[in-house]
Amino acid sequence: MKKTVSMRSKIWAVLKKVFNDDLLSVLFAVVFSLIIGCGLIFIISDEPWRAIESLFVLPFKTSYQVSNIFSKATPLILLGVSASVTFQSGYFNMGAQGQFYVGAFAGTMAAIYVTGLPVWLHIAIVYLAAVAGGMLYALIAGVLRAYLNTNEVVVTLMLNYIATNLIAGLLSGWLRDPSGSTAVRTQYLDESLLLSDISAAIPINKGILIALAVAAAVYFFMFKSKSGYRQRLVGKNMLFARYGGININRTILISFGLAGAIAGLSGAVEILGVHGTYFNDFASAIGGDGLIMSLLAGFNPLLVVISGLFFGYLKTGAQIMQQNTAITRDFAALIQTIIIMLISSRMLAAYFNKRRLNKEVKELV
Amino acid sequence: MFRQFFSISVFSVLLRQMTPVLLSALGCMFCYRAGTFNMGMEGYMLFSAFASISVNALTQSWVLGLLAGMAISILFALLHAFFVHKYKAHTIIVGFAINTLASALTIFLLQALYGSSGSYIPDTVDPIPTLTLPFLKSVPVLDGLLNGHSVVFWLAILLTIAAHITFKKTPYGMHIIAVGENCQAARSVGINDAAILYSTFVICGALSGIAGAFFSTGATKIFVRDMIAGLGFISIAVMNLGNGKPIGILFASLLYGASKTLSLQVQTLPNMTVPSQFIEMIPYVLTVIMLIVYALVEMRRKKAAS
Repeated sequence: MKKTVSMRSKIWAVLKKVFNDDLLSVLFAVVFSLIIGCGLIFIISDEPWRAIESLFVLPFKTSYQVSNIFSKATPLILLGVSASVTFQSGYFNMGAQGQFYVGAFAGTMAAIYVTGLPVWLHIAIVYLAAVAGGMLYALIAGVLRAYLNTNEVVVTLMLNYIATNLIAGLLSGWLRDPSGSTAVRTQYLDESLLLSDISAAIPINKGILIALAVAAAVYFFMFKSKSGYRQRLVGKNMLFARYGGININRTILISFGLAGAIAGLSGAVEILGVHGTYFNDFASAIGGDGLIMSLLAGFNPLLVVISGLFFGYLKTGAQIMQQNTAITRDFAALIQTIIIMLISSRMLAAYFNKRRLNKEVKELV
Repeated sequence: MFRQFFSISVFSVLLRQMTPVLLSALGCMFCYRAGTFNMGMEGYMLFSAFASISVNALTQSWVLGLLAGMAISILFALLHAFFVHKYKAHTIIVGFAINTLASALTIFLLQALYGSSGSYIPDTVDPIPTLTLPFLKSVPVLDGLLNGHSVVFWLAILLTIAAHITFKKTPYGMHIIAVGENCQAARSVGINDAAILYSTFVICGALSGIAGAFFSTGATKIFVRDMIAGLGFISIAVMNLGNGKPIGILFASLLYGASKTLSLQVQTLPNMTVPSQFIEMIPYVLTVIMLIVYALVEMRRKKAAS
């Protein structure tokens, strides 16, 4: 009897080494919410097994669906990394949506109205415009926060609506596709600018490579560079960082500028990799998804890759489920919400901590 | 053209637009003054809109529908406060989660209860009534201006005045301000900060609940998925534009109503070169500008004090 107990605690110790409390609680939250999700499917669906098969198995069935997972994961990863930058520095950037749109729009404008350049230079200018657009747009909130101490949450929320309305207004009139199409969008971009698949054998859009590279680069910046250390120090304890002589305003500007740049880049990748044209409100609520990815990954840019791929998979599955059964794809959002409610409270981590403590105390006695 | 803009029927559209925003901005204000940033109003209103039309269709009573909407909205506000207080979760993240939850769960319930993924149109609804004051009937301008508005509009005006009095005259209002300015100091003089937190969230939930019920059973008789469409965030703008004061919020929501009405009017005009979205944008731009102004004033005040 005694042996099994010590055996179990040994397994527990190994598990503890691999997963820390946070990771364990995240995994628990994911599994728990998936179970609830399946339960709900059984409640509303006449053909639950078909729905569950569509949700979990079919995304891996065809290469088209697998490539779909990656293209859905690309903006999730990029925006998750963007959110992690500001979260790590202790700020809330609720404006990823606006920065994403501004970046996408700036990139589209550069693609359409800059002409007569060699293709490689044109492509570089498109990405540059997107990055600069997102960055400058985020810096509005950053500058206001740094020098006037305005609430960055409110300002970024307002900027989202300003961006959406401004672009919608421009698209409805002056910048609309002149060929006379009824859709509210720009003309289609030149084929040579678009992101292609990696190769014929791997029909996955190159966007995912950009996302992975950005995630790795931001990881190294945040965790392996002096400047990144300063950012995180401010996020952990701002007063301590200030006494330590860190220029707080500079960290605000860096975190907002970087987050906006990544969000803007993500917009361009989405346009060039998926749509090929800017149409009005083409990715609503994607900014919020980015926040969730970051929360799920504990603000770690490398783990964001995993959470992004996981939700890309879930979203693809939900879409297949919508095609095959009567259940709408908003179902993925429901699972997302349950996860975030579980994680945002420290309930789970606290629960695991307490359990472990209880166990240790028992063993001592 | 100007005749069209300033006619009396346009004015009543304006009041209809501003009513829910005024209510939820007032709710947001209570939390804001107590030092918590609540952005869950979007979700509260959506839940309330759904619950009130469902109960209304079942019972054919607008009062029960309104109460059900308020109850469900208060419930989620309490849940929000509980997560913030008990589990130290960040209020913005919880608010964000509640908004997502409201969107997903109402769509799910639409499907589970009514077998539709887009909208729910009950056969009969007992709509929230409009109010006609008999003694104004004979006054020519005031009759058109003030009569025939929803009960909820008048309720919102009364609640604005009540909120103003609460903050100016009552101990409860003072306690909220004290907790908002310095929670520790307030606690040290014996103010129960947890009670303030929960009570402000309940007030926010109740006000948003009324706004949500107005959406589905007052202004319309239909529930559409995501029908709040960002109004919770607009009320955050309105609250900030009004500098967190009831009377300021009243004027800010009037301004929102005016810009919304104007943009609706512009859409109907032929040969209009300014896109309606630019006019719809005005409250947001003004909010950012006013935040800057308030911040500058605050800085100057601090400098003068030191």
